[in-house]
Amino acid sequence: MDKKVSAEQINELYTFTRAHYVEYYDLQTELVDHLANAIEGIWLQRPNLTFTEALDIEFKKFGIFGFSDVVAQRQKALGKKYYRLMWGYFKQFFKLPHLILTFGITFLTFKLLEFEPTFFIYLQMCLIATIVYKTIHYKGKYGKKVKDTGTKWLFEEIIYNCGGILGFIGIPLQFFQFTFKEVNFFTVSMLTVFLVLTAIFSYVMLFIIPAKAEEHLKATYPEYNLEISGQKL
Amino acid sequence: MKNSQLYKGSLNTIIMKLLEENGRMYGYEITQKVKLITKGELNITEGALYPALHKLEADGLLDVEVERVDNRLRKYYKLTKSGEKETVNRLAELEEFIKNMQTLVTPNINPDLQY
Repeated sequence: MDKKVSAEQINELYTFTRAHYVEYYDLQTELVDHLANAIEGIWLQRPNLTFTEALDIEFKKFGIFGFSDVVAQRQKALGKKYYRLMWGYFKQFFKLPHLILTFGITFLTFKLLEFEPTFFIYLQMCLIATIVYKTIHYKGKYGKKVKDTGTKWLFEEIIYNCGGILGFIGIPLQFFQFTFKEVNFFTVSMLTVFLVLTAIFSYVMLFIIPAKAEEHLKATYPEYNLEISGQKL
Repeated sequence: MKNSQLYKGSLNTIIMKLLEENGRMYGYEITQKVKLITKGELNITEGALYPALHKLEADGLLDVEVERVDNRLRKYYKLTKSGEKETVNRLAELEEFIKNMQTLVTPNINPDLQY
């Protein structure tokens, strides 16, 4: 009978991937199955090799950087998926019926800034405060979930990190100078467009996507259902 | 994978072609299938395979299914509808490339052009 990787050795493989900087359960699972298959493949030829010896041979095939390239590329791929998702929701605001709301908000913002351009600063400060508050809130929520479940899902981390929106909060500051210059149709229009677009992007990243996190996670990870139903291996 | 840019550039097409023929496959199965078909001439390295699979998945060309096999979870990849269409395009592109390369590497000497 062919030698098979035992359940205990599967757990060892999970520990092995974690020890080699694969933090995310989704990627760990895929690599564990790969290593287990490869080890069983080696055992067909050389049944006398121990589990550790066979694992050592297989791990070397990943090259000198081990799993790090696989992890980096996975992050890149899921980052791309997130931004595509975000763009999809963003575009909804420029289609009916959302378009009416977008148009209404744009018109009101324009009128407000035309009346007093410095309102731009207050509105942007409110937006920045919301971004900071929500990202800290999600960080805590996600951290607690990781602590409770003991598993990290890369796409979930990207969702609760709100696509790294916190790194962009310095951009609005570049526009503050325009509020002190001569007020004309062009500057007010530019500030309005910037304000409305950043507000929509922020709304999508801070509210819409996190609210639908479970739905997107289930669509991304078929194994997520198995995990949350307590069937984790 | 053989240390050649020529193979690396075709990895996605190789994966998509295999999935077109086999329906759904998991990572290790793909590496073994390629080895078998090419009689060990072509070895897809793990470090190249998974990034390629993840990229194709993120691009919406592959879909995934997870099943419990023995005592572990196995992730299968299969082509999406757009992946099926893209496979046809990429194979046609690859065939055209091979044809052009053959013409360039072993050109038929046209007697009419000789003096």
